[in-house]
Amino acid sequence: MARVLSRGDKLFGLIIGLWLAGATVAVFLLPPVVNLGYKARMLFFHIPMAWIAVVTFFMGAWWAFRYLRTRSLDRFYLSSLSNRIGLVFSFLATVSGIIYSKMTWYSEAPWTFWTWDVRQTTIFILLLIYTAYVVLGFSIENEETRATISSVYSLFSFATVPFLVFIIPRLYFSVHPDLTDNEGGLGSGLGFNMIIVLVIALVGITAFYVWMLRYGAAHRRSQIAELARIDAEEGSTRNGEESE
Amino acid sequence: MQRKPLLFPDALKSVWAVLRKDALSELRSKYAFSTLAVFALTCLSAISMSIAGGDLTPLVQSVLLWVILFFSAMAGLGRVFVQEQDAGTLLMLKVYAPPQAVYFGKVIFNVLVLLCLSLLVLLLFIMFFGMAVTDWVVLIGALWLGSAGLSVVATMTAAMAAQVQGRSTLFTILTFPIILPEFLTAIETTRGILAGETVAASQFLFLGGYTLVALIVGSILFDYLWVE
Amino acid sequence: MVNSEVVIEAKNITKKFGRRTLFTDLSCRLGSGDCLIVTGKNGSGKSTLVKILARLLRPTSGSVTLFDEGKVCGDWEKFMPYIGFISPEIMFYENLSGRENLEFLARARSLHLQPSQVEDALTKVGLGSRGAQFVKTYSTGMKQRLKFATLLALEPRVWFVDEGLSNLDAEGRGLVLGLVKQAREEGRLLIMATNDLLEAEYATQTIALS
Repeated sequence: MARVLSRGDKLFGLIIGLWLAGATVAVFLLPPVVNLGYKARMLFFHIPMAWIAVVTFFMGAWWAFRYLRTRSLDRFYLSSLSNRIGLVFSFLATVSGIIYSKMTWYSEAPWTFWTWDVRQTTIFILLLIYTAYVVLGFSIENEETRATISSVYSLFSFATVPFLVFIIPRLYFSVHPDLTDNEGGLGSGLGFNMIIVLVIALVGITAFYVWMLRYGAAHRRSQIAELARIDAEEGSTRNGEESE
Repeated sequence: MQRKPLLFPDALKSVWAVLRKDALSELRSKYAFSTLAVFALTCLSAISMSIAGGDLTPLVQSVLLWVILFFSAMAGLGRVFVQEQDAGTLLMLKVYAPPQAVYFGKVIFNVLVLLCLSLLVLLLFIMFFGMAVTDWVVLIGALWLGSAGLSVVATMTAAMAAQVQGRSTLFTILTFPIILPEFLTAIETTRGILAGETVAASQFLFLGGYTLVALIVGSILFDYLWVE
Repeated sequence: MVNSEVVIEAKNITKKFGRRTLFTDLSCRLGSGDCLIVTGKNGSGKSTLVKILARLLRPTSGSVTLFDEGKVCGDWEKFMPYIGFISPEIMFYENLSGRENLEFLARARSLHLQPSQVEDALTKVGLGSRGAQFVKTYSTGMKQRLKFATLLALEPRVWFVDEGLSNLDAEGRGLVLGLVKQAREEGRLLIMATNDLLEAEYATQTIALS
């Protein structure tokens, strides 16, 4: 078995693990927030996950674009991996969002979990896009066809982003706090400590995403090398047989 | 090679050739439009019979209208590429027709088909659900803008899905998330019109803008999809 | 008659399907009047090579370039108008007539053909009386003839012919061989995949795949 990760990547992984563990502990050491109490802890998981869900979408589209320009399957692999990570994180962001909104805004109504708030709608569309992307990948046999069609889909769905991010939220009301709004928004409710912890969590999760990409790429390289080695062995034995 | 003096630039003539070919095929087989129309009629009568004359709010009417249009589109619009793929004419088209001519020819064909279908569905709605229309121009405007957007997106996803196994299911799965923003806005706009409210111009701008962006992005990406 | 010089140059073409290698490092350079014959067993990749040379399939590595009078036609869209392509994979629109099929293909390429030119092409391949009928009423051999009528009507400078003699009767084979001979005399560039010795006679270059 070929060695997948270099020593540097192993160390990098270990540091990220410790960093994220530290961030988790820090979240539980924080005092309750004004108006929110301990419910605020969920935010430290929800925000980083939503952040990664968006980052993966952008990076997936970027590498899809690079793939179509260069037709190098390595680029497609990064795009595909990024989008698959995106599916997991947008799912986690949705679940954590449901829990938080249940505790905060829908706590009075026992059977209300989902109200098609604007943010719920947009994250749901993102989830659908990622799911469709993954299913699309499953259903195409030929690797180059899969790469081309998946990349085109990735970029085509990316074209909807401006509408989702800039236009729809302006047309409809949302209970979701606006992160950029300092007056009465989330920014004002959180103390300095909390912002520090949030930044630590965001940096950690982004580093974790980078590490996953590096791991995936390294894994793929070792697989290709393994296949090449097998091919070379088969080739040499076949030539040997022919010469006898 | 003899060439006649050109009335249109070559690119437009190629688009026209593809559109004309598809329309001629369609007029002879009547497959796409009849599938769409019968499908829409089936959905509509299933709902109408089970409600049996009950009163529907503008919101429910608008939702039903667009859901029926969406699924009818999914039943019929994929054919423009699926048929080329199945009949083996795709390779012919690749050799002899420029990719952009194929893209725009197919988009225009699908848009025309869905515009006709949306009128038919509108008539059936008025008949079966007693939908009260006061402002025809605005209503048909919203209906056509939304339908055009749906056709543009569906043409592009059809081109992707045609090369895949299990394509009819995948076609719907691929189209839905991309059309959703436009779909929701179209429902909201139609509801407003049916309820007799003044609909903000921004909603029409959204519908038109979305269609236009999908058309342009699709045109850019189609080359990558078409050229091996 | 074709007057300017068209050259197709293939460099180091390699094609793999998954882990199976079809061919490696094929290169060739063909000019007007040349005829490349690709031979090989079934499954050796004849059709694949022809499609790669016609730029309908991307090679795993290597490149195909077309020069017109020394000028590179690099873009796919600039390349395609030079070529005509016949293969068992290619089909006509069944509910258009033979004539409508030819007219459509010409229009799609923005060529305006006179009705007499289309009629000529159909007559030359022996379909003169059947031009108005739907392709779905044609036999396989007639469809093969119609494919050659496409080449005659659109007059592409480079002919790609994959299994040109398949499904043809003795008369049809004679007719196609005559067309191939004439095309060579007119200075067209021919690339053919075949195992038929009759076609192979016209070869100026041969690639034998194993």
